[in-house]
Amino acid sequence: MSGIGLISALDVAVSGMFVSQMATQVINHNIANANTPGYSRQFLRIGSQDPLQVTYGSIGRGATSLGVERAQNDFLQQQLVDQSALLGDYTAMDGTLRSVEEVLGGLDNDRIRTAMGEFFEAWQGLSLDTNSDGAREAVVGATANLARQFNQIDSSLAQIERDTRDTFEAYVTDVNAMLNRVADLNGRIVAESAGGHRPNDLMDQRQQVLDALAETTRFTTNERGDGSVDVMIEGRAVVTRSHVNELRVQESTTADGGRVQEAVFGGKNPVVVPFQAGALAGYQRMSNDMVPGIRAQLDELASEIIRRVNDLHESGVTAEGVGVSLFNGNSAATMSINEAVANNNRLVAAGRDGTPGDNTLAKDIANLGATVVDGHDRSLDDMYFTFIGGVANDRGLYDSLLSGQQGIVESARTRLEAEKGVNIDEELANLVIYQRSYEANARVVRAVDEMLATLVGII
Amino acid sequence: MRVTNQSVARNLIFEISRNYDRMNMYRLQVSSGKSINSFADSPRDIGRLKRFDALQSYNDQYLRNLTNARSKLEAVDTSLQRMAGEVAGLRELVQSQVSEGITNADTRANVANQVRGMRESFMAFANQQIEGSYLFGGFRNNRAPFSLVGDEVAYNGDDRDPSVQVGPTLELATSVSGDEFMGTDAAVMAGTTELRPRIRAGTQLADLNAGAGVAMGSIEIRAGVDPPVTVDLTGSATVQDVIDRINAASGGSFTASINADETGLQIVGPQPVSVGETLGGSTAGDLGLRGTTTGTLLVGDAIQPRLDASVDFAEMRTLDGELPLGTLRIVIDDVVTDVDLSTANNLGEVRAEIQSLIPDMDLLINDGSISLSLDRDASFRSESPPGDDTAALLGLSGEASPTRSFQVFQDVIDALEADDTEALRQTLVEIKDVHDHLVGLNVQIGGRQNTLDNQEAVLMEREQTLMVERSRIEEVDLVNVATRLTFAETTYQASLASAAGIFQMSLLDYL
Repeated sequence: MSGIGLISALDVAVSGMFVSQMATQVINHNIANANTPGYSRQFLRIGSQDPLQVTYGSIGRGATSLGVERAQNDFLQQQLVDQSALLGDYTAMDGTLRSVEEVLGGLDNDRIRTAMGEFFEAWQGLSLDTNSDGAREAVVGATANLARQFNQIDSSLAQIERDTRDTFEAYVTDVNAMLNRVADLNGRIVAESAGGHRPNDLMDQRQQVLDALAETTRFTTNERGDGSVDVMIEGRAVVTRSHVNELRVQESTTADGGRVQEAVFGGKNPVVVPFQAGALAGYQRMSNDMVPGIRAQLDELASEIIRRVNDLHESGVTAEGVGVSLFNGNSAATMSINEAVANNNRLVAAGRDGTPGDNTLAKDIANLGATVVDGHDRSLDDMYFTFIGGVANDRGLYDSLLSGQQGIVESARTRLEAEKGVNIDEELANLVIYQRSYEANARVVRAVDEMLATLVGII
Repeated sequence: MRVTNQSVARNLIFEISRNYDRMNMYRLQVSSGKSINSFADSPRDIGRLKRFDALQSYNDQYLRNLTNARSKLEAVDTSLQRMAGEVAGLRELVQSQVSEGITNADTRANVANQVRGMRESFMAFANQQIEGSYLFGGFRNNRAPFSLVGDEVAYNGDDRDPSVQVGPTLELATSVSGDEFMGTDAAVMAGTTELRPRIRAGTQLADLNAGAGVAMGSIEIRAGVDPPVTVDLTGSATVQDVIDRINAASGGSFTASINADETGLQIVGPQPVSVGETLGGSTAGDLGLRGTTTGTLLVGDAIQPRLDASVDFAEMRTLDGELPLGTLRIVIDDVVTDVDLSTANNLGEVRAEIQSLIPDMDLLINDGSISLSLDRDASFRSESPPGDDTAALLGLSGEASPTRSFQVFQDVIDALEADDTEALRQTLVEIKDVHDHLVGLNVQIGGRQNTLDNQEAVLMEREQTLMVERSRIEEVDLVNVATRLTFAETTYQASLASAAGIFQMSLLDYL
């Protein structure tokens, strides 16, 4: 086709019809994917074809497609990643602390305080009637129950600690899978881009993986000219083009004997990833610090109960001789009733000199809960209230952080969605435009056809 | 801003679920009646709620202990009454024997046997038990405290009284140990005058309440309709410290000082004053200040320190203007001893003066009064020589004889069997003493029962306070929450309806 004429006018009209058809196709694709998660709205970039230069000026040659592009906003995307990471972190913390609250019995079923109360009540009961075998047996029962409650709660907390460790490991595996998927998509995107196409849908898939990754950990991305995306977690490159630097879980022991679980990357000299946000950070904080901390406080309470009760009880005298220890063990897990006492309730000492009616020791032990013993600054009850108050504070903190963060993430998502999402009404309106444009071009074809018919009729 | 279908849907779901959560929260509050249902609902209140739980359970325990103490005291009370009844019966029998003067040996033997029977039932009451523990055995309460060995009664208990805890700082003895009415050969005459030292600005708080001290915490003072003032007294050491702290906190609306009797504190205000505890405390009660006055002067209860041998007589208000002391006359078996106390400045010196003349007499110092005891099987009388009132001043005016509850039965039997009417007549004095002693113990038990009643009222009030405080923290304002629930339900329904509306709208309908 060269020169100016009716045929070239026909070409112009056809280019318009082509573009309209393509645009309609893109709109169809948008409408079809309106509900696809992570889908970015695509649009046809249209330009005019280079004009034909003739002696008296330039004449347009119609429209042409400059490519299908995808709506995106990197700033909002990064915001969403950052906020999602915090959400993942708070979700992990909140969920675990909920479990801790459940284990402790919450508000209405406070297992430790109830067992402590029953223990002190049993001693009061014995002080009322030191000759009663039943009252003595009640002390044995309450002692065993107190120890058992501590054992069970500690074992449940240990289970939570193990669960958080397992979850952390599972998340690391997930992260590696996601990073591999990103690297894989990087490779395909680079290959397709080299062919001159923009692989929008592959890029959407990659974005979807990155969105999922955001809840797990905070990261930044860097898009290269070839279309691939590098991923950095806390400043360390984990995906470079198609290469993945996988995370590994490693456990170490701290100076004070605690177990610490970390994720590292690199081979010979592995570097610890300092997670700051995301589910990984949350679970790591729970399993390395919070649950062990809660258990340590529980141990402290248990060992104080054991020590203070034993100190008094050993100063007692029974018909069988001098007082023995009432509890064995020195922590929540090891606390137990002295087997000898469990088997012979006559070893329960109510008094200090073996006289049957002497109830002075029973009263003193019964008062251990509320009174501050010499040499200590807090009563056992106070210790417990501080402990439970601390757990409640953490629980409240992460509960409110979580509900606030849900709103923040939602609004970040809405803003991003506003940039890249599909509005069907908008697409339909565009469809009308291109439909009409197609019709108009078709009319031009008919007009040219008529003109050509006229021309042919003359011949 | 572009609004996309997905973000509309997501927002709707987010908002609907948030409305649903809120509605659920109010539903839970209405159905549980509590605004705090988990730690997260109000973290800073959790520790306090747990403390209330603990205080409540302790309070319940004190109430249970109190019920237990009451039943023990009632049993003690009944036994003591019956024992006094037996002794009264003995007195009637002896009186009729003395007045009728029957000398028939068979009759006397019969009467003696009757007395033996009385002793047996007296002992049965003394050996009463409740729930397997003997009432009058002291700490040795797992076997009968009294047993008859020949004609002698042996006591197998000890002299300690088991006590029960009926309040955070209150223990109450639930019995008297049997040696109290087993009797000794010693004659004891209890003094009647209150001699406790007066309260001074510099008096240590630890010495107050007969040495029991003061549990230092905060007290709440309310003057008229002004908002209550909470005064933190922790760390105070002397009475003056307490007065200073109260006055510093009063802002001029009331003034604390030592009361006119110097037995305790008082608070004066231009308006009626009321003093109470802050939660869980006993400071106001320990300071004798707990109470309300309709006038403007709240006079506190007596809280003086314990009496001891070294307190200078000048510190005893009852002796004001009466010093130096005069002479105490003690008559033992018609032997008169005059003890010159004019140089004595304290009770220790009085004791020394008495013992220098009567070595087996002792001056016993009780919480707030003194007693004389004679370690000899003899009666004695204490009085003042004519024109002197020293005995009355010290509360030591009267007679005492040994009280030997069981021995008195034997004395009667012996007198009957020996046909000694004079000896029989002599036993009447002893019988009266024993009877009085038993009645005295009974009064003491009655006093403890009153203490229990008061303490029960205190515990009940405390329980009420705890419940009110607790519900103030955790109970829902039902009207408020029910209204909010209705709102939340309406909002939820509206959000569902608008969701349905939004999804129905589409440009497709118009093309």
